[in-house]
Amino acid sequence: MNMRKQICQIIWLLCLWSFVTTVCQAASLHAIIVADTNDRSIGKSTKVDFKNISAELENIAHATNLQLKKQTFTASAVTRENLVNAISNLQPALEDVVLFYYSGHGYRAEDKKSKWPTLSVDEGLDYTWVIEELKKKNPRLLITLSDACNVVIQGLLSSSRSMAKPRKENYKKLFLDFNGQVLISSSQPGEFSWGGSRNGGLYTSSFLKSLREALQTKNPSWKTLLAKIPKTISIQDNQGRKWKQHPQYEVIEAFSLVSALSTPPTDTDGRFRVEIKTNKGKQNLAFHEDEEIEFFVKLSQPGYFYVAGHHKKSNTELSYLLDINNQDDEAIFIYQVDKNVADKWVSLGKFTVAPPFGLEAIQVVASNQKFDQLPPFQYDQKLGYHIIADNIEKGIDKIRQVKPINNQKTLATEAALIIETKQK
Amino acid sequence: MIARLMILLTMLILTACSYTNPYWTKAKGTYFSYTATFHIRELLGDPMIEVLSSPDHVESFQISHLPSKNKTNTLAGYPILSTGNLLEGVPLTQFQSTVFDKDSYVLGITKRCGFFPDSALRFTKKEEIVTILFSFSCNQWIFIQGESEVYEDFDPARAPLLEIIKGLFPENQKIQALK
Repeated sequence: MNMRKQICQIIWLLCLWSFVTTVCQAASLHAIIVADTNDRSIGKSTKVDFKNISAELENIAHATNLQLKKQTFTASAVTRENLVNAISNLQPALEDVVLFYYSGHGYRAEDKKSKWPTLSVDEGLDYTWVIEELKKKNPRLLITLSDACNVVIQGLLSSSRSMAKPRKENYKKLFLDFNGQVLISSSQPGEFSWGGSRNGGLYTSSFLKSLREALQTKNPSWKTLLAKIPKTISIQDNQGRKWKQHPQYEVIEAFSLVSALSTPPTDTDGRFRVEIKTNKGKQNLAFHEDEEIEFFVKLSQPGYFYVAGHHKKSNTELSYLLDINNQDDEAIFIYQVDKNVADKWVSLGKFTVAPPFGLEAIQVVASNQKFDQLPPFQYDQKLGYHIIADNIEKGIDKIRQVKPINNQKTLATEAALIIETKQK
Repeated sequence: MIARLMILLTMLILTACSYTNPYWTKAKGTYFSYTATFHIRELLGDPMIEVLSSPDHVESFQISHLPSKNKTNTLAGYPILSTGNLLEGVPLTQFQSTVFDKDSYVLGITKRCGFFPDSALRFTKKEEIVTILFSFSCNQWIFIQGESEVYEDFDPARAPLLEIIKGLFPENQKIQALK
């Protein structure tokens, strides 16, 4: 009886562990939804937008398994302070999606250079600031949409919803497989953005219509779905007159460190494993200026490994080899793990965080056989790096093209972790 | 008998007209139709139309884009920057015909533009006051009477309205610079 009880307890703990692991590892969809529902002129229209966008977010989260973390601001909660705090305090992980949506009034100052409007919240919240602040957080996918006027202040589409069902895999293509930024405003500089109390904002209803259509196609993309929204969208008033606006958008597709490194090639069937961690663990790693980082590597069996670094800071990218041994030749890059240290954590040493700040990926390539060659590199005396490539995508390709001595007994694998370095 | 019936029918039609349009005879010189008046009555309401159609006097103001917490020398919360001429005579009639024309409005939809007014009119009739704030940046106006507010777009009527407002501030460079 006691034995049975213990077995039940163990099974229960295993189930719980499995559940916790799954939940903890799921990427998140951080949504900041703002609708100026208290406004006397467009409150009814923004309420419709709020309801439609909220419903679509639930669909996206359900179809992609992204964990929805929604912050909504409506009525009196639409204040500059609340929005600035929400944006500033947002801490997305590198694999997360961030969506900012605004439905309300907008305008632009006479001397404003940016093409994006100012959101009419208290004394004004610059949409450019919102975009730049969210870009700094480096989410895998950033989507921002403002359905607001973009006109200088001196001194319907029918919501005909298709009955066809959106494909779940299409949500994944748009919200999981795409890396980069999707930046939208509903009108160009000098233009009004229109809306009605029945269908909400003209642009929001056009955007949701195009999104839903794209979700039913074979191969949806952000570029295609945004291009399908007419360049000129118009709405009819009660007197039958048409009012036009011209939306503007940017789709910036970025190479994703997370995607590239999270699915390493492996031919070990789990028999030969390599792991890497820092003194702060493996996930959601952020280190500040002058802080020490210590890297540890563990091979499940005796073998060899070398380490490559990839960094992405502002507009520069670099892939390089890390010297981890005090040798004179190429052996400085290769670490041999013998029987004594197999399945034990080996320290690669301590590093101090210094500017420039950004994303840093550490990739460990391991094999149970000797590496007869390393990826080609050149030493840059000025930078002090053994550079493989000045583009991370090319760097990872070069590393994966080089295989250890190939025979039936060769087992090779990879592990990686990504850290974010920040100013103090 | 037929003649009597015709007289009765005519009287009935006239009664119906005067019931649905009590301002038909009051606003002499204005040119609004029954249909237009019906829409405008729906929009502004009878008490506001009463003041707008036959005011004792109409004052004009240049006001600040932004409201102020300080309540002295403000109009609907916006600081008064200067006063213009009284709106009267032909310009008043033109203004009333614009206000009472449904085609001056964009009905059923609204633009998402922050309201930053530049000028205002204050209609006074005995104790009743109707204030109209204009934003020529976004072609929007707000009609205010007591607690009642009506917020609308006036894009189709921008040109005649701007001409009337400029006429009230002949020496005001900022108002004259409005395009």
